[in-house]
Amino acid sequence: MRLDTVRVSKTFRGKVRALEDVSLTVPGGILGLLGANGAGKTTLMRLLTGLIRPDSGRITIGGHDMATADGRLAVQRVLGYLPQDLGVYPDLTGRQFLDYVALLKGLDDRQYRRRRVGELLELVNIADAGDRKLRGYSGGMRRRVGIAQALLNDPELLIVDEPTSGLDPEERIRFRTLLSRLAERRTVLLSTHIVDDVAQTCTELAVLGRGRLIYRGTVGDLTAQADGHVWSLVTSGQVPPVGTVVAALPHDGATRYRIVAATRPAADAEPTLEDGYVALAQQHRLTATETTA
Amino acid sequence: MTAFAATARYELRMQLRKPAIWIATGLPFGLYALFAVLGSDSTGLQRYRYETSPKVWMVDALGWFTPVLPMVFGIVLADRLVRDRKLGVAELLDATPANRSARLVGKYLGACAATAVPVALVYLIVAVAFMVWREQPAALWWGLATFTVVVVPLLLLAGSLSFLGPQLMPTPLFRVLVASLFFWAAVTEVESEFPSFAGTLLSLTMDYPLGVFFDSPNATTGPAGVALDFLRPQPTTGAAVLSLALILGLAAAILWAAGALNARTSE
Repeated sequence: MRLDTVRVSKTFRGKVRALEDVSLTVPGGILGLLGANGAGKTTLMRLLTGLIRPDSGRITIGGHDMATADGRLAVQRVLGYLPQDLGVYPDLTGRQFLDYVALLKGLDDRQYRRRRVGELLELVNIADAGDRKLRGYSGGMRRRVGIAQALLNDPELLIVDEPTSGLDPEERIRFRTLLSRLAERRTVLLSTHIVDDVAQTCTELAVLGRGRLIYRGTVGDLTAQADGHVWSLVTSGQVPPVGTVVAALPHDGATRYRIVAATRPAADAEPTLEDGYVALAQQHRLTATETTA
Repeated sequence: MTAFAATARYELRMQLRKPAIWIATGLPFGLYALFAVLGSDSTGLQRYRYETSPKVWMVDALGWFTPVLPMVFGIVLADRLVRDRKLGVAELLDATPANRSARLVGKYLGACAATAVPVALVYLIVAVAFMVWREQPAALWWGLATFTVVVVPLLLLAGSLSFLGPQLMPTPLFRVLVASLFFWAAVTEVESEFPSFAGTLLSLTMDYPLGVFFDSPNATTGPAGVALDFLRPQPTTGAAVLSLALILGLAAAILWAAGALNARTSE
């Protein structure tokens, strides 16, 4: 399912410019959307799901114009959406909550709905807790319910906003594998500020910075942006006041720093996607301190 | 199953599990039952002690408990719509293809139906008690009729106010205001010094339906020679039906406004 945004802008009340002239094409497969907190990722996700409308520009998904009610409805029928701030009804069980969302997604056949809910509870590894009230679920378990509800209608377009936040490492890996598998035959948009999630699941990515699209290309190309800009330094003294420290590890009574900087303060190191992202952020004078590995 | 039916079903289920709806109905009913059994002079319930008419019992004796209900409805329904946003569920549900208006009406009717269950049980208990006590099965019929004509419209009005009000102000403040509104409606009289809708077609104590359909002596109807008399026509069947239509129309208009405001807030 092809997704196009053409010069999309959105300003919220209080004149907060959340997105500015964002033009993005996703022909299919999985696309990682990176950006610091406040970069406009969630606003873009909400525009793509039809929850909000752009002030200007055009969004078409699978040939449907999101400016029209019919277009939004057609897209929402094939959409799976996991919002960043997912809430649940604490007085329902996991199974009941999924059943409710399934009904709203048009899964009218009772037997199919029950089977699908059961399959997804298994898939996200909470089948044992399916009949417990959501009030008693941990944050990670609720997140898994969120993932399950996004998949209920076997969506052609899957939009997931910070899907792995709150998941333990094992679940994160499991979910990333699942996302890659799902992307084999649908369009997946993975919005995150966790660079590692994109590095492990996507070959294509886009980066938003202060509401603008500042990068669109492959993971490899973004990583290459840090070529010659990544340095490794072991010291127990002061860190050189250049660039951005992306890692600091204890090392034989000192600390090993990994630094992304335009000038050379120490020995070379092999760049990663995170380094590429930081180098890009430096070029665009963005705050990348909130980005985590 | 449509979005309306799904939402109504789950809203009914969630609201029924809320202890507040049982407590908020049970407490005033407990007091009422206590006074009814003791027959205390101060409550005026004593005069029903020797009453044998099921109509009088189900309409007038139980009518001492009924004015409390809209306050209860307003208080327990106040969080139903705004809680979707507070819990963070609204965004998820809004992204489904389910029609928003259908979901709103389903939520409204599901929540109202659940809130009506404890009250319906109270009416049933009183009707059965009277039926056994006086051997008058007609108490069940009069209970059903009063519940449908008096309690349901008040519930629907309080419900729609509860969907709108908390979007405009904090929920606790709305609860105070809605309780005050219905208290004001219950205590002010036609010739009160305070401005009042008492005895009008818009009376929040349902004077016209009570007076016309149930011959209740507690209902005030007809011109009184005071302000707003244009809303106090002669008590006829047409006037009682008009009164019901106005209350239900007002509830529908308020619900529509609540839906429009909710959709705007989502943007």
